[in-house]
Amino acid sequence: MAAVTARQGWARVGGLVWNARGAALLLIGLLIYGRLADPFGLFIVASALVLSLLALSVDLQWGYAGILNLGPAAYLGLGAYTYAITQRKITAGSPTYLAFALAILFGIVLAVIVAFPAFKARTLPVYYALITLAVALILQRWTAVSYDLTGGSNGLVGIPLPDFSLPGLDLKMTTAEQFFPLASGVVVAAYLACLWLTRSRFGRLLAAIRDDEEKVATLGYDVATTKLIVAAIAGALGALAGALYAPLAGTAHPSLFGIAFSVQAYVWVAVGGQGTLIGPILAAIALKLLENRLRGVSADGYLMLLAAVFMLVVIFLPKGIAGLFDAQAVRDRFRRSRGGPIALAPVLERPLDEPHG
Amino acid sequence: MADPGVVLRTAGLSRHFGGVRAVDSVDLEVRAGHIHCIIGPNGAGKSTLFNVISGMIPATAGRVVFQEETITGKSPQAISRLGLVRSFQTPRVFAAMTVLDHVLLASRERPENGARSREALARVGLLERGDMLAGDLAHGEKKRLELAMALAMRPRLILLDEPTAGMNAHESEAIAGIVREAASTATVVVIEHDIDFVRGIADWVTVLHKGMVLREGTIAEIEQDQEVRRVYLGDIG
Amino acid sequence: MGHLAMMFAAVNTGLLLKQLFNATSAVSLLALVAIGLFIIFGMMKVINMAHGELFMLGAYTMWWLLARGINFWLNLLAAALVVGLFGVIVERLIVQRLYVRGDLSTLLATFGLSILLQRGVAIAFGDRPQFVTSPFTGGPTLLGNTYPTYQIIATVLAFAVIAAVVVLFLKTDFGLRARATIVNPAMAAALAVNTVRMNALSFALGSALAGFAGALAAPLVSVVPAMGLDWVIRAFLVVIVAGAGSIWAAAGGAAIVGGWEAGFTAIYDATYAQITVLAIVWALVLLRPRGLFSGTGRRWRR
Repeated sequence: MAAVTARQGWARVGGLVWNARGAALLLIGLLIYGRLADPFGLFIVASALVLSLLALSVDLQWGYAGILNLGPAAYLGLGAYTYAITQRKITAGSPTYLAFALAILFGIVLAVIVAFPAFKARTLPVYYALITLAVALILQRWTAVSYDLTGGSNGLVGIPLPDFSLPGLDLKMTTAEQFFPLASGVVVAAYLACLWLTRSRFGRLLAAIRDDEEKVATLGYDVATTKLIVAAIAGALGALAGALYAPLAGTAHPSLFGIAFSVQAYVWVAVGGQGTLIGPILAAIALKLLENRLRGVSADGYLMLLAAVFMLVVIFLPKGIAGLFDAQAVRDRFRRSRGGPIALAPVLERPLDEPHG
Repeated sequence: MADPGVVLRTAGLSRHFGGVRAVDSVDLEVRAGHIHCIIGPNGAGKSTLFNVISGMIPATAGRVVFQEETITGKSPQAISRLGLVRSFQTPRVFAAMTVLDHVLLASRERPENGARSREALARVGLLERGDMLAGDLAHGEKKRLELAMALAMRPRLILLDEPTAGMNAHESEAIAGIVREAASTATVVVIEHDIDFVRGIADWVTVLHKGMVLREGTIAEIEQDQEVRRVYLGDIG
Repeated sequence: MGHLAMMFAAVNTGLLLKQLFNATSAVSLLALVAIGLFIIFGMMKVINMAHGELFMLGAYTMWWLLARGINFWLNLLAAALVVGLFGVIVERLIVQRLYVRGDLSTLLATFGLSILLQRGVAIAFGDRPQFVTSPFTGGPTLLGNTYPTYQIIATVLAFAVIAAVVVLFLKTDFGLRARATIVNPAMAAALAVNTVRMNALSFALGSALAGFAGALAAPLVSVVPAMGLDWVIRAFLVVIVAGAGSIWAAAGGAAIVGGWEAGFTAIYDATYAQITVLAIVWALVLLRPRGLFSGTGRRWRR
């Protein structure tokens, strides 16, 4: 699996060891960039950072806990629209605390509702994967036809910037440039929170569930509830990403629920190193800057490229770029990839229904 | 009716797969503190029996009663929390976690005060391996790790599925020692093929054949029994 | 409820019949795709996330060949073969390789493949709908409504193929071995069923059915690169609804899912039809995770 162990609490990415100190490194790197870069560069990296929260959400749920959600963009769109609608219709002109809170709350609620039957009934992973895909698609369609509430297929524009003012303290964002420090702070905080989580006993439980959830159940743990908690956290992170993205991009649009954002998150996780938490964040920044260089390529072409890269990474580099530094694992991959009678292995490893000995 | 000496009882327990009766109306009584061995030729239904008792697959008919409580139909998680734990024929460990982490997971202890966990590891002789990744363990060590996990849960009843599979005589003897010692605090039910091993530890033996109970008795009685010998046809050493 | 009653009162029998016919067409196509997916899923407990794109490729194959003047009916066969072959390639190159890992790699890689194919087709032919002329124009009228001849024939053909597949599954040797592998792969392997070959064949069959369905549907639906997504979702919802029972379960599930969606769309709105289908499946997984038709109470397990 990923180059992390439950108790070590660090990850090897790019040949370096990342842990809480890595978060400090990241923060310093961002601060330096913040000084040197032009406004457009700041905007790109701020976008990357905000969207990296979605990648972090995917990395926690899939990369670390092994739960496959193929529609993570559902949270992105939900958070974005909730922020936009709340701030425009309910708390117009007021601080955006409620907008953010509601976005996160709705993200959690959506995550738990969708996941509940799938986890409770102990269905196969493909169920949850497909239902989450369907939910994202349905949300995209529904926002596109609900003109009155969501602006229909044009979406919403003119979304107010975040305003964290308190009585007597004006903390209203006035320029888009201020997004950079906000996004940096949020991402570093989110990373630290996720790091803390994976180092805890809960994190150990998640790692076990990823490897063999049935075995974990025989140890007396409530696997379904644990997975629901992870889904809820993933939903919260994804919705937060959306709530930040809406004011940053200035629009909330049905495409936020779309495949492009979902795949992008998965590519960042796969390339950055699943389960490493920091890898997807770094990959987000790197790839967003790279995408900016490839301005000439069409949107479709870029998506195709992402999909191709994603497939290649899944097939050949399951540990992402980080896995390149783990030569033994790569050798193991190639050795075991030869089909044949081993095709029975996943079935025989779980001899439950089959009459055995 | 309720016999305090009986910690686990099955009544008419059956599990069918279509036409195949993997477990066929099995009546079993496991007495507290005993080491109760279940033997039988391959395909006799032993592991399936464990799967049904531990809740991993539902029973087609019959009941399982554990400490006077009916547990048929309960989830593996619930049964485990009642004090009935099991190990698997093919050891199931978490490859990317350390040995110590496994036992901590089972015991629910914090790493700082993991006394019970370390004790369990010591009992199976894996304490020095505590920081190794479980995926790097040898097969026999993985089985011992599973045993340690079971012990760390302070169970009332342990179901051991072929604990000595793939081990040499020396390792098997070590396992026998662990099992005997485990029986001082829990009841142990063991599925085994190694008759020498069974001979060394069993208080009671149940012979399963084609999903049904063929014979029950002490190992001495079982070894003499004509029916059993016939069914095994030279499997007994 | 009153709203519904009013609608029914206002609607005449002719219109009702027409809606029923449309629903039946939709169900027949859905059943084709769903049965294909059911076979693959039943065999391997994973699906090809790009299964919908196989449907799309079938439709585009029809469009491409038709534009080159090749006979419509030949194209149906060609689409089935081409897409079936493509399915085998996917199975060999990707699924077989990743299946042994026993994790979610198969789903992910085929998810990537789905997007690759979608966008690839979009780049090659554009995102706008392609027009596929049906071999017949017009059709008989009944009670004031026209029933397009092609739609009638397509529906009949779809049911015929479904019947053929059912017969294949229930009456032939291959079908017996396939069913054995679905129910108990380890046992089947022990009984000398070549499970690897069985997986490949079921993949080929499932893919061919999807391709055929796409080609058949091409004159009836909007042919766009993203058309497959709806179908794979619907087909899988059918599999969930049906449960792990026999192949009839898949047909029954298609009738329920397809029928509901068509009916709801006719009365109200397509988007809300899809929302309600999803909600129903949500409730179903919660209340009857084994599906509606798994007679033995068997649930899909690894």
